[in-house]
Amino acid sequence: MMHPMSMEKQSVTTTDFTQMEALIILLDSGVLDTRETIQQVRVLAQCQQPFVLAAMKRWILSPNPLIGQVAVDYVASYDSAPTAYLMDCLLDSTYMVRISIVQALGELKSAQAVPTLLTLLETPNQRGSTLRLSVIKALGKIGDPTIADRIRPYLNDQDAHVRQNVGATLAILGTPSQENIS
Amino acid sequence: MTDYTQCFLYVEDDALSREILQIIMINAMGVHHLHVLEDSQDFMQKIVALPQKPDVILLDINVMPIDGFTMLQQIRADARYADTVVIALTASVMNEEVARLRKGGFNGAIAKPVNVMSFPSLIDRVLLGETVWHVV
Repeated sequence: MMHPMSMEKQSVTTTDFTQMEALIILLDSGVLDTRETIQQVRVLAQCQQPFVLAAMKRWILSPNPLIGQVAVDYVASYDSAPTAYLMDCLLDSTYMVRISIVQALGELKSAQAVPTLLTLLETPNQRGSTLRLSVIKALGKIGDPTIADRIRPYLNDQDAHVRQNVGATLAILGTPSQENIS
Repeated sequence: MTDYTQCFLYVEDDALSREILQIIMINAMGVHHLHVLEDSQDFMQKIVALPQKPDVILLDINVMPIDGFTMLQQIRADARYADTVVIALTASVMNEEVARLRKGGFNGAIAKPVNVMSFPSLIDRVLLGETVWHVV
C-alpha cells in the first residue's frame, strides 16, 4: 500500500478507500506535525465519502483550528443537512473555527441559522471584532429583511469594518441606514 | 509542499486577525519570514529597519494612525520598494471600496477573515505574479 504521506502528488479517487482510512487513522494519531497534518487533511477533503465526512465532523471540534476550518468547509459542502450540525458545533468550537462556521452558514443561506447568528452577534465579551464582522456578512448573505432592526445598532460599532458592513448589509436587505433615511 | 523563502510583512491592528493569519502562514504554510506590525505608527522607519526587504506586504486598510492607502503611498514614494507587491486585506463587501483599492495602486486584495482553505493558494498566485482580487 502506498504510504499516505505520498498521496499529495496523486490524484485522489474514490477507489483509494484503504489509503483514505489509513490516512484518517494517521491523522487521529497526532504523529504528524501541524503543517503535514493540514496538508493531508486538505488532500483528504478532496474525497467525497461517508467515512471521510464522519471524520471531518469530528475534526470540527479539533483543538487545532486549521483542521477545524477545513472540516467546516467539507461538512458545509458534503453533509446532507449541514446547518443543524454546524449550529450544534458552534459554541463548542474554537474561536477561529466559530468564524468559519458563521461564514459557512452565510454561504449556505441558512434561514434557520438566523436566530443563532443574532444571539451570537449580541453576546458580549467577544474576542475582537472579527466574529461580529463575520456574523453581519453572513446575515447579509442569508438576506432576511426582518433582522434589520437587530443589526442597525452596529452602525455605531467601534470597528470601522463592522460599521461599513452593517451599512452594506442594510442596503442589501432593502432597509437603509438611519443616515440615509434622514 | 511549497517552500516559502520570501519575506512577508503584515500590518494589522486587530489582534485576532493577526493571530489567524500568523497561524495559517507559519503553522500551515511554513512561511519562514513573517513580520507583523500592530499599527502604522512610523511605518516606513519600521519597514526600513527590517532585516530583509519584504517581498509581499499585506495591509489592513483601517489601521491607525495612518490608513492603508496612505501607507501604500509612502511605500510607492520610496524607490527601494517600487517592486514590492502590496496586497490589501479588507473586510469590505462594497464595490466602491474595491474600486478605490484598484485605483489606489494595490496589487490585489484578499477578503478578511482569511482561512486555511483559500489563503495559501491565493498567496501562491500572488507569488507567481498573478493579480488577485479575492473580495467576497
